[in-house]
Amino acid sequence: MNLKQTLPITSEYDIITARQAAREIARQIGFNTVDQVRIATAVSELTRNVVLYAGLGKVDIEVVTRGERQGIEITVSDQGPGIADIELALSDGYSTSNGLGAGLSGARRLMDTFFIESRVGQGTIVKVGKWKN
Amino acid sequence: MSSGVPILKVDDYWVVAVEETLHDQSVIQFKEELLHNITGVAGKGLVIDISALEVVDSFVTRVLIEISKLAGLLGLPFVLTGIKPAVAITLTEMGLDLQGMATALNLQKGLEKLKNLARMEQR
Amino acid sequence: MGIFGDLKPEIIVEKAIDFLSKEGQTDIHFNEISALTRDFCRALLSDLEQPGFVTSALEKEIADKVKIMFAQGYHIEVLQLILEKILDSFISFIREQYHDLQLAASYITTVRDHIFKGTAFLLKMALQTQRQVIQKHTEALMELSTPVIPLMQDILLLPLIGTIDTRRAKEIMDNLLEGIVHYQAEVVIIDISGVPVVDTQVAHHLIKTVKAARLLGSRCILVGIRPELAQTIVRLGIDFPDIITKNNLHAGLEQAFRWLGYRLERVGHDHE
Repeated sequence: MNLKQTLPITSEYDIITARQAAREIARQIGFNTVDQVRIATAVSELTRNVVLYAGLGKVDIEVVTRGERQGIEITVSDQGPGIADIELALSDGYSTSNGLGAGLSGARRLMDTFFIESRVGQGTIVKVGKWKN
Repeated sequence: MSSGVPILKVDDYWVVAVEETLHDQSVIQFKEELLHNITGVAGKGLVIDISALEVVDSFVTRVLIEISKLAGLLGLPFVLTGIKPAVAITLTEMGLDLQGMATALNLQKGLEKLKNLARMEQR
Repeated sequence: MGIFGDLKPEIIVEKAIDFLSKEGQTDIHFNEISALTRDFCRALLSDLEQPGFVTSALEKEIADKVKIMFAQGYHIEVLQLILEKILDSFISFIREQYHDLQLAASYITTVRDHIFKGTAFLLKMALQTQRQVIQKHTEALMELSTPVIPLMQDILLLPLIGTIDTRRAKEIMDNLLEGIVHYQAEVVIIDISGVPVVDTQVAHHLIKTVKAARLLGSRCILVGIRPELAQTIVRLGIDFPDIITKNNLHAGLEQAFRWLGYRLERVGHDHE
């Protein structure tokens, strides 16, 4: 099994490729259907943000182990304009692209772990993870 | 370029079955095609079945809500059918309720719902 | 050649069984105790024959027996008792055979160390097996405790019984939603009268479940709400028009019938 996969995000077509790849890896390591969909949806939200705001970026999907627990970790990064107010961007209903504003906050709710780092003018890294029960 | 999503008319009802995963541009294309259809030719209702969709994210949800609102403005009853359990859980967890949109378990039940509605309005 | 040369296990076994027979009643038949004692003794003697301190044969025997005992539902304590009596038997044998006190003491120490290591291993195995058994039971209980019952065409009943934690709440939601799609049920009656405590977290899960069911195209009726839960819901400030609540199952069924256009009618009485 491919334990680590890196995919470029250059257009909206890559959103589907990325989420299908994440879902397939999640399935292979034994996540149930609902978790597979949670993971795929989170990847969809995060990669779409890249397409909408930064244009270019990449996604790393990785199988991780902590003790006896196995999980999946996904890092989505870009060198776009960055987010000035992360708190605001994470709040429900906030959107600058006329969306539902559920992108970041939705991904956070679907996953077990969520980490974001962003610098204005330099880019954004979002790292999310989910652990098997 | 067409979205490739077939938009059918069955007994005065618009029936759409989204059969495969669409990328964003196709979703928007589909919305335009649908709006063109339902504003051009009168119908008694609209059913969209998404049982083939394994993932429904906030983007697709937004488009569905737009369609629902526009159908409402046109006075066209709308039912969304075939949401998968995992999709329903995901949407709920993300805090995306479909803003009171009517839903049904499958296309047939969706059509029944619309027909019931029409019957009730006639009374 | 080990320290006891060609010692016949029977000598030790017989004495150990004799000791065991003086113990109180156990839930296991005495023939089986004898057989267990024999197997342990043989394994121990074969370990003692090895150069150096070896307990692999005894440990393998213990591992096998623990599995069998658990599978048959016996208490593990009897195995520990058997090991104890084997040690007693050895001590008594050594005291009779070896009059050189120092030699006897060193033999007793050797056997005791083997038995102690075996007992420690037995404890470890027992705990490990018990953990596995608990895990299996938990899973079985999980399935048992979230039954989705197709009451009749279009109506599902979900009777919730027992404490609901986050993990179980997730199971319940998954099971219910799968059930709704499987039976294509338009109405779900959730009976929570069997849930002793509904805290805010459980309430949130319930609401989430109802919302998700609604997305599928199915309506939920919550029945059996106790005053405490009503208070929780009020305290949470939950205003949720999609949750229809009824006093009891009966009222819930009547509501479901109304929605689906059914009417229940007695057409006669079979006095047979």
